[in-house]
Amino acid sequence: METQSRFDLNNAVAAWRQELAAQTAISLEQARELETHLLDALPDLKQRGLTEEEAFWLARRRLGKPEDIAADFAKGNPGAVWRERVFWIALGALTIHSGLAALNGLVFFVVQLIGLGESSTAFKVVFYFAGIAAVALALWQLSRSNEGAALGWLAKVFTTRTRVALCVGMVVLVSSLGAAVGFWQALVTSALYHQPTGVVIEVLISVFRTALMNLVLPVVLAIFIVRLAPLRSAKS
Amino acid sequence: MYKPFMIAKDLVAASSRPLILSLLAEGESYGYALIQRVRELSHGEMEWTDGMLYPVLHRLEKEGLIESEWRSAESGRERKYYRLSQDGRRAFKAEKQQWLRVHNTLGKLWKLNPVSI
Repeated sequence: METQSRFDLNNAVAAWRQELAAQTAISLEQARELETHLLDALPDLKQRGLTEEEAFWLARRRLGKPEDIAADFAKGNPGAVWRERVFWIALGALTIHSGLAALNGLVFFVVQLIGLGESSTAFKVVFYFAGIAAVALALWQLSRSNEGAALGWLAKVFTTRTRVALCVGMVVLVSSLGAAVGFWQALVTSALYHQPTGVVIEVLISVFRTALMNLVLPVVLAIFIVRLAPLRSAKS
Repeated sequence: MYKPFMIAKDLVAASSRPLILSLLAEGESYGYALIQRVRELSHGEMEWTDGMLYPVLHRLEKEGLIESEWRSAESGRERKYYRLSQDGRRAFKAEKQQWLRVHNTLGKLWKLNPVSI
């Protein structure tokens, strides 16, 4: 009696629902259907003499691991897998963009603080790479972690094509706008100060390089994410 | 480990499609009831986790072979009911023929009476 009163079916179902929600390949409707299946199974199992707790665990076991169900769904719906990947790409691109901007500011601040001045190039490079490595490591951990629930709900937001398109569009727009502003600045500056053509070309090249980097970044991330988080096979 | 008494997972996966089409050819049904029928019919010899059913249903629906609808049952709980579409009926007949052809081929080797297709 003691153990029975301690088991709360609603809590147990809610916890299981959370596990399903962490699987982006399972839509909200599919999760709802799996839940009705679980609840349908309970009365039959209890009729066979199982306690509510035992019935819950057996029904859950029969349904299989949420990851395996998700992998089965993903096999029939590669689009969903890509939507999830694009979400990580967009998140990664935004993180790196803002991370690098923050790093830039921090490097500048530290250099000013220590007063290294012009001799600080080596220090800057080391600092930069350490920062990039930290961001990459954080993303890698994020893509590997089983506790996807924390960001799973965020990934869930991107389950429709329109939202993914909006997100990717935003990243590309921000990158292009940044490049356009740089381009315009370079033009205005060189026009104002009547720079020699060589300097103008140099500036333009650097602006184009930045723009190219901004567009290449999501692609590189795409490749990394596909390599790091490949489609799970249902076979174990 | 080889478990000779259980039907292999790959074969179960391959048969899930004709099985679901055939069950729905008997009339409309919902996920849990379909699984219960499979369990009865196979005496639990098919290594099938309940969760495997839903991705198959989802795929069949995307192919337009089955249609679904959320409806409340007598218990008051809403369930998703499935039924065959016109295309689904044709697919069911085609699947049946293909499986019987495989069956008859093996049957010749095992000296079984062929089933008329």
